Amino acid sequence: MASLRPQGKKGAGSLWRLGLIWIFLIAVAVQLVSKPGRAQAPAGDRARIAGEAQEALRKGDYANAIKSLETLVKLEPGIAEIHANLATACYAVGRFDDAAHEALEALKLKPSLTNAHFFLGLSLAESNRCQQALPYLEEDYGRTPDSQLKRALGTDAVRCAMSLNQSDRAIDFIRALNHDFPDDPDLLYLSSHVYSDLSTRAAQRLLMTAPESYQAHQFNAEVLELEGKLSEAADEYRKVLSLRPNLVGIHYQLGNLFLAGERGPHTLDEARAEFQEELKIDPRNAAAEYELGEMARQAREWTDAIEHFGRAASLDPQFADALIGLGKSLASAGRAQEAIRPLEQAVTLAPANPNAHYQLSFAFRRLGRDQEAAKELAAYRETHDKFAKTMQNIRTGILGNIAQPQTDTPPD
Amino acid sequence: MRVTRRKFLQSTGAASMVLCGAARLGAQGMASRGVRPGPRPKFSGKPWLVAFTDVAPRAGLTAATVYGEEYVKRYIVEANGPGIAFFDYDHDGWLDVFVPTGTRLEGFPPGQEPTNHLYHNNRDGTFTDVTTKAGLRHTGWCYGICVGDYDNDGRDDLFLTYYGQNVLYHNNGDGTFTDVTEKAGLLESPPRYGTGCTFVDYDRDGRLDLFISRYIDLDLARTPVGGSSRYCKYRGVPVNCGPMGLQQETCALYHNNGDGTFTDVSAKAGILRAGTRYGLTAVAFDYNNDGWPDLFVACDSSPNLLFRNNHDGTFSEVGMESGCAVNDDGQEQANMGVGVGDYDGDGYLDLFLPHFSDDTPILYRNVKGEFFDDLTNAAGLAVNTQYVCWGVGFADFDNDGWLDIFHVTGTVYPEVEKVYPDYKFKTPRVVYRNLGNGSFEEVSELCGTAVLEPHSSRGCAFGDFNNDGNVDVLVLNMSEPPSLLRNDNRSGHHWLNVKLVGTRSNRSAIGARVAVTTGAHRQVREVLSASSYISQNDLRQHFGLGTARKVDQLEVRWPSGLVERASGVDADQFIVIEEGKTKG
Repeated sequence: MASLRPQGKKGAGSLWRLGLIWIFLIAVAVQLVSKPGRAQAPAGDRARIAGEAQEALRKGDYANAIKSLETLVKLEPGIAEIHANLATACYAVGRFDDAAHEALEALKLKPSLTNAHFFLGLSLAESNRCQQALPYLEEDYGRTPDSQLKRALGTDAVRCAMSLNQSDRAIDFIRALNHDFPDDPDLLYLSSHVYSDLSTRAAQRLLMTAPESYQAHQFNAEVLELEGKLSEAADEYRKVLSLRPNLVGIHYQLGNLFLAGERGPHTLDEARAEFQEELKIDPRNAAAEYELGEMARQAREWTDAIEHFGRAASLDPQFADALIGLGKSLASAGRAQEAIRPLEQAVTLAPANPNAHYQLSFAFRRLGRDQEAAKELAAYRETHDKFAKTMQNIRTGILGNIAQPQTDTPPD
Repeated sequence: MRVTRRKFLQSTGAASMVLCGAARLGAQGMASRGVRPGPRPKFSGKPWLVAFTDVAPRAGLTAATVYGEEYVKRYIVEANGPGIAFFDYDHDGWLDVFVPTGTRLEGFPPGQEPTNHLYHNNRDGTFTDVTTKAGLRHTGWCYGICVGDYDNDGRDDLFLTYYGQNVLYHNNGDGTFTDVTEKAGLLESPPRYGTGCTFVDYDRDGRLDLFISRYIDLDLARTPVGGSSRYCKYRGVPVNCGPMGLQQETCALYHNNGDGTFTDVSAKAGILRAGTRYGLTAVAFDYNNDGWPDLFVACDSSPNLLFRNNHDGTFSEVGMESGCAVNDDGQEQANMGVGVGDYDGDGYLDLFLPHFSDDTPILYRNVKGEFFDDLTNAAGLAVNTQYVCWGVGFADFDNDGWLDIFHVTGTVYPEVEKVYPDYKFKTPRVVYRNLGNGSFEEVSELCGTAVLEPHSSRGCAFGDFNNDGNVDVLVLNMSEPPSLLRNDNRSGHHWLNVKLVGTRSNRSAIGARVAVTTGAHRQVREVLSASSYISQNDLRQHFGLGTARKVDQLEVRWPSGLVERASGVDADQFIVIEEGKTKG
């Protein structure tokens, strides 16, 4: 599995850590001033060193901050806040083992010191001591009010859970993170990797434990299909059928393979036969009904198309594409009045689908209901443009802007 | 079970898969839908007795069209290429040939610049290059061609669009032409990327106005060179950039003032209200049979435009409402050329537009002038998706009385073939025979080697250059001389060829409608200034008559509104009808 750490611009990880530091530093000088002197060094010296530490931290000079704080720890080993600040500074520079040690020391002295608790979990996770880190991360994720810290705790928790092979725990954290930070690119990236990794692990387990099972063949068929090896995929699906002749969905997949491949004079008949076979096994397969409807529609066999689309839509009332197919076929068959209802349902179910609005607009136009047609056409244009803009954003986001040539040549 | 595991895997697969998908979305160029060809219907078994022979070399059409480097296209301006024209400039009843050319970005040494060519028809199957004598030497990125007698002096004039300044040539009637662009008020400042053009008498005042479509707001200095951007790749191979990602352009309408000048009325006439597109072929025809010419623009990777004539000097853009802007699924396609013809004999002119590779062409059936129905699949025309398609037309090649379809092909990315040998730069022509029942079947392989020979073609024009009663095809090939495909039709079917001369209407009779009835079969043609891919067809109207030796009724509806009829017209002849002089 690829790294589950949040990815970003170079150095973003450490910058992000530094963001946390400022929030959780404790005013050590205050602690020192308020404590009576009991060490060898005079109170003035301790205050000066504390001041230097604070100043170095303020400037982001963590090396000197750590130096000062380490001196202070020697002078005042019993002050939890100094250990906590030293833990924070060590965390900032990536000295995670030292950070964890200091955070632990702080908590021994003052168990209620929450920031030490937070940094203990984070530091343990970063130093790959996930078994120890996870209970801290889990406990802290729920109680911290700070979103930046919550995000850090959550992502480390996911990473640790995955490395410990505790997928349920990882999924719980992914769910929580996606709920709390729905559009965060780092977390969406992390989520895609986690789900992908889980899928791969399950597939590997399936292939290792039951290589002769119909499920293994079915999985293999799907992978081959995705790779565009349609003929090999079909062979695998047929192996599935030889093991489980009545397995739901396999004839449907074979029908789709016929439609996706090179088409000869009998291709449509072969695909149709597979969809019909599927419906004998699973009469509630709306997708097979839809495909039969689409084939009939393309052949302008309106009665058949209407029948199949109608059945698909009644089997799955949320199936917007089936409703669109039904509406299109009814309108083409000269039954535009009857087309309105399914197309309106499709628009309700899929308001962002430009095709639904386009077909409804056309049906209204056939009926001479020009005002409603114009309204739907406007909705078509809006949804179409929005979709086109989204696609354009993806293009420019990933490939760059055509008007701004880039010098790099990425791998294809 | 609606969401299959396959779909589930596709939607929730690894990030790399999603990214890979996104990168595919980013494949630039012309709109393409990744569509697989539909099944080929069983062959009808009907004999097809048409073969084409490329007679261009022996006819003397030998000058190659230069359009940038042959195998490297750094900018889109080098890749798209021009139209071509059949053009009887000396009005001797024999079609002459106009072949445009481009240039190269780095230019040519003085005296070696390529030029457009005008070839005079010697009436014996050969042609003579008369370019210099005609005063038509010109070097530049020539695109579209349209022909029409804008000053009604009885001689058809020539308009050319350019990536650069468009040119209007006045036909002096003595075999020479004069560039009157400036005098006519047609200079553009700065010059733009003109593509389609058509003469059209949109206000029916008897004078031909001019409509121009434009492609891209293109400044080469600001446009990345091919392959320099990650955006500009096709199948991973660096190629020229665009059109997607580059700025679209507006169309323009110029009103003929009647004194040899034109006035830009694009805003007043409502043309600019339609906004911008990647406009290519423009064609004027009366789609709703109301007697007023409308305007259609085939647009690349953007919705087509249909300007409905409001009869008051203005237009309303109704492409989307009429169903010919996008396909049946509401998706735009890469429309380059457009064929216009009444393929089903219902009296309404239909449209056929072939597209970029990985997409089917589209057949828009005109339903009573109210809207267009996408009948591509039902008509058996979804069988080829492998070609990038350009010039196209409806023509009755076997004279059986039903309009067939011909289109040319050729990719815009010659670089790709070097990496993927199966992605050919040069590809064959395609012919579909009209079965007379609303459907077509491909007969390319029955048409002889001239059709199957691979070229990277662009424009094509239809006309009977040897006056033998069969429709021939003139094809513009990139970096090669043109092809002149002589139709050697052995069907023995009868035909009629009609030339119209306007008197109250414009002299070229552009916009006139001719209907021929034989028995129960009625065929309709309209005189078009341009169509195909930015090309000019024979202005004469050809009708195949099947076994009929006579036309029962011939009807002409002139742009002036006059309707004239003649009956019992003998087949197998060329006739000229002058407006107002028919004795029915």
